[in-house]
Amino acid sequence: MTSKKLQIFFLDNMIWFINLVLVVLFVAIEPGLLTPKNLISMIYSVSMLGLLVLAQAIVLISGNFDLSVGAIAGIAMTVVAVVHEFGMPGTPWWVLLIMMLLVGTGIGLYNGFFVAVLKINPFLQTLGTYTFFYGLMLIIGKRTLFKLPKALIIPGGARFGGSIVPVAVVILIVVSVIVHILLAKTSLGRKIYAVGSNREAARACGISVEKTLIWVFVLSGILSSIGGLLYAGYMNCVTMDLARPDLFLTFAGAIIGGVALDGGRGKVSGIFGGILLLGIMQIGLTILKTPPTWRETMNGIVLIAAILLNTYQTRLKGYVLAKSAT
Amino acid sequence: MDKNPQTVLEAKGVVKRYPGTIALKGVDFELKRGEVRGLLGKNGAGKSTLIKILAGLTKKTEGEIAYFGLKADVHNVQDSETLGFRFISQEPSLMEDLSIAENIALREKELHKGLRRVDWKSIYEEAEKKLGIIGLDIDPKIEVRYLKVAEKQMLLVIREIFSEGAKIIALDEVTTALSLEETDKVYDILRKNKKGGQSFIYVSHEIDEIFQICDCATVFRDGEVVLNEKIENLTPDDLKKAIVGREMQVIHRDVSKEEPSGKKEKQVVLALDDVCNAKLKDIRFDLYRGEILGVYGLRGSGRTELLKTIYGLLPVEKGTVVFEGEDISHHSPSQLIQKGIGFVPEDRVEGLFFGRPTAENLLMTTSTSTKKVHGNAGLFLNAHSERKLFVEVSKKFEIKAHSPGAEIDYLSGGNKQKVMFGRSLASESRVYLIDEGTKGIDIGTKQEIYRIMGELSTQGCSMIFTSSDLEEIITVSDRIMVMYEGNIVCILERKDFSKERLLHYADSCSKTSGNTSKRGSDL
Repeated sequence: MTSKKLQIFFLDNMIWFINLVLVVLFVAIEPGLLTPKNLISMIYSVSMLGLLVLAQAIVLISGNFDLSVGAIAGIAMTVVAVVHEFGMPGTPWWVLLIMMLLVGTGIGLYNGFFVAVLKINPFLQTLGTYTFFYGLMLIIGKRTLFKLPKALIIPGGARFGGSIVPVAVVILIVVSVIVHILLAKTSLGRKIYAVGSNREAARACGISVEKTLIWVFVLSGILSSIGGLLYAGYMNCVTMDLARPDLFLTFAGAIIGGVALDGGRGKVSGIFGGILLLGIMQIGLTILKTPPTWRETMNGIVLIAAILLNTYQTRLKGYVLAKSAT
Repeated sequence: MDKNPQTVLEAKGVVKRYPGTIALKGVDFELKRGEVRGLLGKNGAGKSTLIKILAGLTKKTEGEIAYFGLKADVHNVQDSETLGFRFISQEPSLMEDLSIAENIALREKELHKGLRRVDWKSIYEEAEKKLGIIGLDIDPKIEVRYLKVAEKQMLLVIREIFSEGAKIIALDEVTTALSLEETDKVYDILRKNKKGGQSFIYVSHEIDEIFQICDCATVFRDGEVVLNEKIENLTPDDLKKAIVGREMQVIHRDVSKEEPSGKKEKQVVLALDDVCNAKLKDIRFDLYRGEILGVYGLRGSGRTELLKTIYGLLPVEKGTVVFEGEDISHHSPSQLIQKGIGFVPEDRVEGLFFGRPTAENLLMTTSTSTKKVHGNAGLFLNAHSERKLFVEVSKKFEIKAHSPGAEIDYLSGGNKQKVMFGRSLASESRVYLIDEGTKGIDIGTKQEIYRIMGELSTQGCSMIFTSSDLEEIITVSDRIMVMYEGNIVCILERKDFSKERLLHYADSCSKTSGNTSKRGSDL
């Protein structure tokens, strides 16, 4: 009985065991890796990506795609930087922060409306959003923008008063907890899972699929704009391809973390594990001085392995449950 | 093994094991050239498992199968097709976006031989010829999605029976969606083609049908063949007994006790008046407190749409739906759930949230629609009251789940069905709209569901219950409403229940003329 429970626990939280194995492996190869600073930088290096992964995960759980998470992050920060530098230079930082969140909310609303109400395929819809806003960034921003209010650099760039703990890591953890509560403890969360798992059944249970999906894209937009804030702080500037190379990593992180590509499955503990795996690989390979030419391939191997394990997780779990039943 | 050249198919000692259950416990089966063999048995008795094994859709655990006297290992559908086996399912699986002609041509070997020019002219000619056999006057260039369910079924029947090299054809309840006229056409084809040497395996739940068309009957029960006999030596009662076995005593609801022949004032709970929409025409009836109203009709008769319309999933375009004195014609499902109307969808695939925990599935309506109930205050869910409610409902329905957190996927079919049912109980429904509530579950679970329905009815809950199972609907219902093409044909009182009547009214014949149905007059 207990062994069955243990097996299920292992299967449900496999990503954390994979992470543990990876860390042990890297430390075994390079014992110098085991310092608090290195361990923290594993999370720090992916904290801004982490927010986009969370945004993507919510959309994936609802059975949709969002290719525009990075574009939303980018345009939100471009608007902030342009207003600060050229528009109204005296605007207080908190007004800029609200502006940033509004941009995220607005684009999310737009995506949600088109996908949920006008029934545009989410892939195509967000592909359009992605292309349009990266284009718009170039028009209004033109080049990398370096001037940002100090207060807006802190979330992505600073560490807590002399400590080694970056603010971004704390933000990622806090946001993860909020998303966890939202998905697991609220009726909205339950609706998101329901719509992602079975749209028709959700309708039959009285759930408004349209409203739920609009919420999903709005949440994704808000989280993406916060992600943009962390990117800008981390790099101390707003580049015109902000987060653009990370688009596929947002999918990778979510899926490694156990989110089903066709919706309905995934929880924050897993997603956080998925984000961490991306960080472990990034820092681990850097410290092991893996040649850059090899890194992509190594990343690929780990991704494929993790995804394979996750895909068979369901089957293994069914096997474990059936075995104990007879 | 019998090397009789007349034997086209022989199965010996076929066993099929699934994790936890045995679907076939050593079945012997033999089919002769030019024979129409009736296959009977309850859902889960093993008849469809045998056909699936023969068709190569699933693998046998033990036993031997021989086609035309030669031992054959059928690994997949291609293998069985090469041997001349065809399977016609009751859910027409056609390529909806392709034309009728393309759908027919896809089955011909010619098209599978690599890259070659498609001879459209001959494809269309061929299709027209085949459509002519059933007297279907449709342009073969039309996409299949525009056909009616019955037409699709007929299309599938002719496509398979007249496909190249078809020698053994299994038909799985193909006539459930067909009118009497269309059914007769299928019979004609079968009679003609068996003379030409084709053999048929004919699965049906209608005993009358077996007597009309079959030469022999084989009855399955609990994974075993319990009867195998020429049709001349059988009576309908023999078959019924063989199908039901010792479990004949279905729990009959004791209706007489509850209503002293209508003396007590009947209280109308739900009233439909002239309700119309794309699928329904002038629907008018009352549902009484504590009543179980059965709805019978062929597929496509509008019974599912009726439930969905009441439940707000389909619009009420004309007329009114009144629930406990309040007009609910344009309410959303969510509002109706809160008022106490529950819906149990027909299909578990359509009604369950796969990949999600059992408890979440059971409490989905409660957690998302009924805010005031069970302390779910607004946005946040109350984990404690949910746990309590889960225990309460799953106890009442005897739902066997590994744990509240285990995904619904790992539950058995019957338990999944109970979860869908329990959902409406959890949201404290007073009217249950149940669409095929016992489809594909075993007799034991069925009886439990009947018991629960009986209990709910004594507590004053009302139910509208659709079923394709005549016996079931007669057993369970207080009144039976028969539908045909979106209309109510009639509402029968309990004293007037009979299978013949139901079949007769459910069929198109009753609409066009008043003569007795062919099936009815046979008995």
